[in-house]
Amino acid sequence: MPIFTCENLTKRYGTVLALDHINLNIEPGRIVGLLGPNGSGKSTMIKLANGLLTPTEGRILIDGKAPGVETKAIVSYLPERTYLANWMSVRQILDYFQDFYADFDRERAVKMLEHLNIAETQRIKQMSKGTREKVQLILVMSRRAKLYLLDEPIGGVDPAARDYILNTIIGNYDPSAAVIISTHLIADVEQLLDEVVFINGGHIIRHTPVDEIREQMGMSVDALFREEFKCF
Amino acid sequence: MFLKLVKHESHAAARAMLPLLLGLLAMSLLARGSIWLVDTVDSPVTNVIAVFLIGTFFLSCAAMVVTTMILMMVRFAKSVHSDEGYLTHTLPVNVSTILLSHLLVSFVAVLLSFGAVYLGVRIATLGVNSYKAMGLNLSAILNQVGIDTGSMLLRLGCILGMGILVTILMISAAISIGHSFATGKTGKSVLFFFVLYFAQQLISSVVMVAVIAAEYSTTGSLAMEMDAVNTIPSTMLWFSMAQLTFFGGVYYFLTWFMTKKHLNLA
Repeated sequence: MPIFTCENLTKRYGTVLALDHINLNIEPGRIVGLLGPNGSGKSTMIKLANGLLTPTEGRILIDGKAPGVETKAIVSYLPERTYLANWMSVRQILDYFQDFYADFDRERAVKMLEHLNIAETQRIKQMSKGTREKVQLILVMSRRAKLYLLDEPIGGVDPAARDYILNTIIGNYDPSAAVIISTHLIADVEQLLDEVVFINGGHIIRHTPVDEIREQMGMSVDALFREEFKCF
Repeated sequence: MFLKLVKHESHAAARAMLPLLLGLLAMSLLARGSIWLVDTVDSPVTNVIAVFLIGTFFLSCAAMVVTTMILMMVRFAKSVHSDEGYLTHTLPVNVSTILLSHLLVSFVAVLLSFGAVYLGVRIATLGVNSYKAMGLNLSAILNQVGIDTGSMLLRLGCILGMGILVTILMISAAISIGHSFATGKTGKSVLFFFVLYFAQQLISSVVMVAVIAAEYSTTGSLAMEMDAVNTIPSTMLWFSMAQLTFFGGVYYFLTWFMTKKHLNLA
């Protein structure tokens, strides 16, 4: 059974159509790149999967269920912005995650934080933007979730931090889980991906395994993306 | 999960509330010192300082409850409708649990602020005989006109408690409606607070007039006229309770509906 399903999924913001009758299935154990230019509908799809938005039409299913309490327990979500309260210390945030997520592996999180020399007593407000994003990623990847939804995980960080983030994703996700990474920085994530979904103007214009792009089309995902989304 | 939410929310609320509580208690000690100064030193300068400090203390008492309410509502807006909402709404809990945990913590915080004001006044007036006499006289007056002080306080307590809950729910509803817009979320929240407030006042007034008119048209007189002292508080109590329950329910539904169906995190 697919871990992530969209059936005629449509989302409208007033008169703006963000997603237009999307159909998509993603199987467990795959790392999928949700790729598209800004405003293509990537974040909207991820927010719908997390129950942060309600579909205008159609439905979205996580492990066969509509977004709700049960699906939130198996989805680990990294939003594109920092959601941690500034006044909280790392320890308080670890307690928070441990309290609410049964699949949170505190030991794993502590090890990753130690590796980055981030003390548990440090407060979020004392951290740089890059460090906050790393802490958030560590928390998200320390869950043994069935589905990881990562929205622009490398959007606002320097190239060195990008490598750290990508290594953290590769090194910590459960191989039986699915990972959906939304980004427009394709060259950086390309080596991780099993499949790509190209999205533009609320439509899926391609859903292809990465090997097929490389072997049959003889080009990289980045090159294909540039060709398909060429600005005239 | 509800208790876990309450635990974490209480922690966040306590962090904001503690400086306020300590500040008020410090002000009450200063006010007590001022009263002692007025009693023992007869100088225009000390009198001016004392009046200033006592005045500031009573202003602080008034500000305490309002500030607590504002702090709790800012906390609600942050945690449910802004960036922190990305975490709050992806926890494996439903919207009702989130809203009820906020309602409970805010309610307790406001009650604590009333408690702090009471404690502050007791500290500031410690050993002041006229204050005690004032309380005793009020009780005697109420008893003389046939009103039991204990029962009256209980009724007022019920109305006050429900009033606090409904006010929290009204502000929560206004914030939830205001934050469903893409821009000007804070401004629109304030605007909707006034819209809800005036709507409540208007509906309450219309219903009250209708009830009185209906009673007058059937009996040809008003029950309140017969035994004003006992009937008015009782009638008003039930009328207030009924209308607060109605408005509380409406505001809770509005908050839940806007948060569940029209969540619009930035």
